[in-house]
Amino acid sequence: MIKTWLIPIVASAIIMASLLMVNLMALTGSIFLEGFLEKKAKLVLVDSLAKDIFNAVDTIAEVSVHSSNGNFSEFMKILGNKMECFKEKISRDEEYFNEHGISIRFEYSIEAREDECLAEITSMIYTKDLEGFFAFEQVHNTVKRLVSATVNGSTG
Amino acid sequence: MALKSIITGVPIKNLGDAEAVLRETIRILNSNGVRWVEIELLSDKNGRITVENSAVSNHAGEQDTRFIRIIRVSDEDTLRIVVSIKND
Repeated sequence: MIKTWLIPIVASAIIMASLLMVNLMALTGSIFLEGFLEKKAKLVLVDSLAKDIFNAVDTIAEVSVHSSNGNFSEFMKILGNKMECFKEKISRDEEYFNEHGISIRFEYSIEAREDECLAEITSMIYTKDLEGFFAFEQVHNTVKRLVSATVNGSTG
Repeated sequence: MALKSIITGVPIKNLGDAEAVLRETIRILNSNGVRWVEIELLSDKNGRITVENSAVSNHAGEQDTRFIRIIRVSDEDTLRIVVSIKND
């Protein structure tokens, strides 16, 4: 036979356990949400940095074309110098990029042929979440072609 | 971290002009109700510029503030922005 005084005790225990469960679920949810927002903010940060760098490389290539006045060797010299200078500037903030799990790489080639000079720059930004949840790479190609005295360029 | 995203919203066309970046950063911070204490802007081209928000800085000790660091890159310049913010 169930004792009547046991009923409120059991009911109270069930209510307390439910409340504890709800609290734990809310706490876990907020921890997950905070983690998610942090990762999202980091992706926004990296995306913005990638846009900055890709724009900068495009501008460097554009300025080199205009400054060379159609002279192939001048174009190669100016673009080479500007790219090295830019890489050096980026490397000065390596500590900041490492702290955010970001690595930046550039590959470029400038080739002079008989009737044209072709410059190809590949900018790569790689980021990984330090906890290992995500990793992605953004790649941007800049191509500039100098043809005889006239200038044609394309970026992609 | 969300504040970092806000500050990275400064338009790229302004990056060559450190003072314009500073004005835009202050506008963004104020319009988002951020209680910033100090903004330090280090630029290869323009050197170091510091702005203090006296309305908040008078009431903020070293331990009450946290720092946000942002780097913006353009072909001509690299801007390093450090914002100190009063903890609520």
